[in-house]
Amino acid sequence: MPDDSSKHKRILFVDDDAALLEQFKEIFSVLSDGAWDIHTAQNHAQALGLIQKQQRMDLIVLDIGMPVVDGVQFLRLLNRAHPGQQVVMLTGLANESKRKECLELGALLCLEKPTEPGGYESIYAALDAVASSGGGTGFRGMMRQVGLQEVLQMECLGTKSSTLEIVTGRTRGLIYICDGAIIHAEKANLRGELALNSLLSLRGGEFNLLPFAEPPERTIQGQWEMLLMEAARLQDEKSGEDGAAIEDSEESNSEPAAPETSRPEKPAPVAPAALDSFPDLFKPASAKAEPARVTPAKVETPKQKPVALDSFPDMFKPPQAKPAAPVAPEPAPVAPVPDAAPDAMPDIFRFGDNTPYTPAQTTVAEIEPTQETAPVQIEEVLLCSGTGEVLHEWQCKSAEQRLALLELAGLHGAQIAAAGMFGRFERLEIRTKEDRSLCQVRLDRRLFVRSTRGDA
Amino acid sequence: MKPGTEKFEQFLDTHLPVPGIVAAAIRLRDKTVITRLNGDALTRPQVEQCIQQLLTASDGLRQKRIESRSLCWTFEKAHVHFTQRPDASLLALFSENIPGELPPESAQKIISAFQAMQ
Repeated sequence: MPDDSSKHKRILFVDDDAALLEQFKEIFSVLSDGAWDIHTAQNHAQALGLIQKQQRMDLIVLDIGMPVVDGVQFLRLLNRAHPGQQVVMLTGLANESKRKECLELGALLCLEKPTEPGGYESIYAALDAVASSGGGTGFRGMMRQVGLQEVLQMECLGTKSSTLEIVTGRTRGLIYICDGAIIHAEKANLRGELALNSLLSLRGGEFNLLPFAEPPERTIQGQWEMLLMEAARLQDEKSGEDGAAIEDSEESNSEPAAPETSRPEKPAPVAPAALDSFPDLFKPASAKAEPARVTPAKVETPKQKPVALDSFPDMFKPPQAKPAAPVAPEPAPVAPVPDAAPDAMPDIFRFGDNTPYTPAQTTVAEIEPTQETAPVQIEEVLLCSGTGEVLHEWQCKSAEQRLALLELAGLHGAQIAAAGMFGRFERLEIRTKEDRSLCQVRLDRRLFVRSTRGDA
Repeated sequence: MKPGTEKFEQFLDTHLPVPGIVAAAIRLRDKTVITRLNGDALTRPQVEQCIQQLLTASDGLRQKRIESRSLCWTFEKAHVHFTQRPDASLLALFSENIPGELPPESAQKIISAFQAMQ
């Protein structure tokens, strides 16, 4: 960590008002007592040139109301061109919607331009605090506000190298990211993906983004999207099962072992973000297309916890070893444990549990043997922000059509929710003859995933 | 009982109640709605209103050339399974969004049976 970065911060002000920029320069030079290296630009082109010249700014202060490329557009551009760049909006046009949009796009603050000289001191204090927290010194955040997954995504998308330190009251963990790939994680006596999943299941705490340091070993391989997806699946599984799986406790170190299997050469691609609740589509998909592959350094006694059949959605019901109980008005008795050996179960049922699974009560006469025993093949993925900005797409025939579909799903979902008083709309699964699609609509992001069965 | 509704009535009687399904409804081509409620989670007017919205949504998807065999809408508090037959009759199954409440294949099985009904 270079010490001089905290003494000499590079701050870039972008505003189309040349006189105001000059004023900023004079006032903030005085207020910072020369500790700020102040740069100014009157438009985005000048600003980009300066950023490239200076390598990186500790802070960019953007005006919103600028001609041609306004502050919001420039903020989007910065997010793509310089992910992780700290940006604060400083504007005289801070209506609530603009403010919200800027914050959603990653601006750290949205401040109003001072209207009197005394206001500059407040602005200076805020900007200096932000600039001090950034740079090469790592930053701190509450995980309830900024999810670990988001931080990891940011680092991976930006193909960065860093070490993410996670601290809770009783737990400390590290996740190593090298050139945008998650290469190692550790938490207490856990290593590898077990540690990663355990850390990602934490519900609160603090994290520090530290400069990359070579880990003692490299225990994790594979696409970060898959890793985060798997973590999300486990979290979802946990939320569906009382007191299950990974917990924020030292006891959770007794993570169960999973069979060591090899990763498919070409794992099904998945959306990188919004992984905290995609669950259903991906559950068995991940089990099939991406078998459990945890190779913990230390393995404790597995928890003897059955995985309930009904924690999986109908979309990807697991293969049945036996027909279930017949249709009956009353709940059928719990079906016996299938004859099949645990090895015959999909990996998902063995992950974290070496016991055969016990299906929940089933009231259907026959579970028809269907093609659903075939592996799920992800065919198409689109992830966009809540405002419709495409964040990730894979094999989309038409992103516009998918965006329109997500919009439609959200619209009708809200109407149905209102009619039945069902609460917030979450997702729509569409089954056609050929495929299945998931449309997940959230305030801050939308996801479309289309899949087929391997032999479909 | 209106003429033409018998087989649908019978269908619901045969397949319901199922634990976890709090309401089910079939809407016929002539807009007759046959409802089965299991508990007081939903009222008949609510179900009918939902059916109308589900139909609108299904039409919206069709306009986008999405010919769905079935739809599953998931909400904070509920799942709604929906399917429509070529004869324009449709089935909606309502369940609470509680893990383990409704075995997923149960709804799918009823939907398959509805689609296959002669």
